[in-house]
Amino acid sequence: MTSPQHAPAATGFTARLKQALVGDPAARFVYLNNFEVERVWGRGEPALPGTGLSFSAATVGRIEEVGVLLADEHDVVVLKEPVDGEYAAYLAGLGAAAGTHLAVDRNEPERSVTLDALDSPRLLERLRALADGRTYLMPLGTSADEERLAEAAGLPLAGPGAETSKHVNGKVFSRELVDAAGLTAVPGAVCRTVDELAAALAEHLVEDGPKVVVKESLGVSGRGMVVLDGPTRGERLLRMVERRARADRRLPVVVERWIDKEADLNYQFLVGRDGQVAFETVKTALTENGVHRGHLFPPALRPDQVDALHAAAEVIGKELHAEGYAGLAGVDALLAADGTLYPCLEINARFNMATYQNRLAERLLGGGTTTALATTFDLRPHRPHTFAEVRAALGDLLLTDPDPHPRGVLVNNFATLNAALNAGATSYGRLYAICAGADERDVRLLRAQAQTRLEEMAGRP
Amino acid sequence: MTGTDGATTGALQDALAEVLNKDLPDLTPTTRLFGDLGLDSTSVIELLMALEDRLGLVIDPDELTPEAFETVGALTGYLDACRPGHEPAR
Repeated sequence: MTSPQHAPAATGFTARLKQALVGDPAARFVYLNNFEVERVWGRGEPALPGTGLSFSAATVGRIEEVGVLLADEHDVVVLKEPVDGEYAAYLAGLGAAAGTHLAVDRNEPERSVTLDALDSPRLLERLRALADGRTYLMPLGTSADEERLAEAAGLPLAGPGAETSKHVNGKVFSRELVDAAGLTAVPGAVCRTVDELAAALAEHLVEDGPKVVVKESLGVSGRGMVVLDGPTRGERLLRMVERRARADRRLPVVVERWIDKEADLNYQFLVGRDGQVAFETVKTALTENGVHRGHLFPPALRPDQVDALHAAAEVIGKELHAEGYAGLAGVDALLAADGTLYPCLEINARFNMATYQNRLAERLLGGGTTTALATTFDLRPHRPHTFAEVRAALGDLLLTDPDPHPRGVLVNNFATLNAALNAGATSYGRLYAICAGADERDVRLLRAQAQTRLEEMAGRP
Repeated sequence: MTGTDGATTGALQDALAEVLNKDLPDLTPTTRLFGDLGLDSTSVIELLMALEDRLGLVIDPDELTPEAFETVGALTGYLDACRPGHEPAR
């Protein structure tokens, strides 16, 4: 890689991403898939009690393997471990992962890929050798850690710096943007102090009324939040928060009434350095208690609902640009049971799981004509399993060849199956996959069949 | 239950039933909170709140580690250590 070759201008999602960020669709990106960057953004910020706990850190730390799915031929992906050989061959057969993979010198399972990379002299040397004026570090999201890595690697960041990224990823920022822009907002309030939280709960959490969710402004996705089902639990939370209140009583949170939903939605758009906003995708987000469980796409939305999301993306994208942000943004929206569309519950001005499906979906999932269910299989393996075992277990369900009308299960992260076991933790493993089929019923059937087969595999001694 | 008193385990049983909103089997020290009972990370704050109220103690979440939530035995051991004047289990 001492004489880098840049591909001719490609088309598709990654070319649009590069054009938006660095004005060069054939630039080389070094993808760094630092999941849970929110943890770094939230460091030192007042938090709700208990949200700093990190469960299954070894597994979460290896979600980063999905980064290989974004790379074009001349791109590079930094990984905590090399991709398993059989799994790499599988992805190659699908044409799903084209770039060069560079592993950190030593994977510390509890540490972010960025901190691993900073502690990797050999890797840093290889990254420095890539610098050619057209090569950029492309993290999932940028904190001070990624700024340090960009400097140590001698590569410019493709996107904005840590300060801007942290600011626009706050839920307080999202909520204030929604209010200022006049987008339909869930009833609720922005709170900056313990006293404002008390006032907001008094107003919104009433006996026999709807539940209320309290979200830390910079909480980790799906974790820095608590759902309160009545005033008694509200009072309990306030007591707990009071005991720990800082001298300045600061506590940036958002309080929102619980809305019964028809569907959670997630849409993505690109914000160019020039302020242009380009809509990418909208998907149904599958969540349980606010925790991400997957995506279903295309979503069952009417054209006018899709138009409303496009309009919201324009408004939000312009505001993000005004704050100095450029790059990919994902927004969580909600279609309520009563038909109301709330176009922005929170902005994630970074990559998310849906982003890592973009290149794959364009190439392998029929450009929207196939129904796809991006999902996880939570398993209890007693020992590490090879990809050959997964392949054998899934058998004819495994999607193995590009097909204009694909039907089957495409494994899009293998490392998380063995990460916890390899780190000496409990018998827990997770596989990420995309089930592709004719319609929602079909993909849910595929998922159920695959779950049964994978559980049989994990149960074998 | 070895190494802790029945009050802690009883309080944990009640707190978990409240937070998870379901009847639970009798807990044993090896029962896994996440794997066996279906606790998830978003319920942890609620569980801590319920335990503080029931046991009249203050839990410092900054001192908590994920290991304290692995099993019933690990969590009751941690809670007993939080109680003022409580003789640590031997």
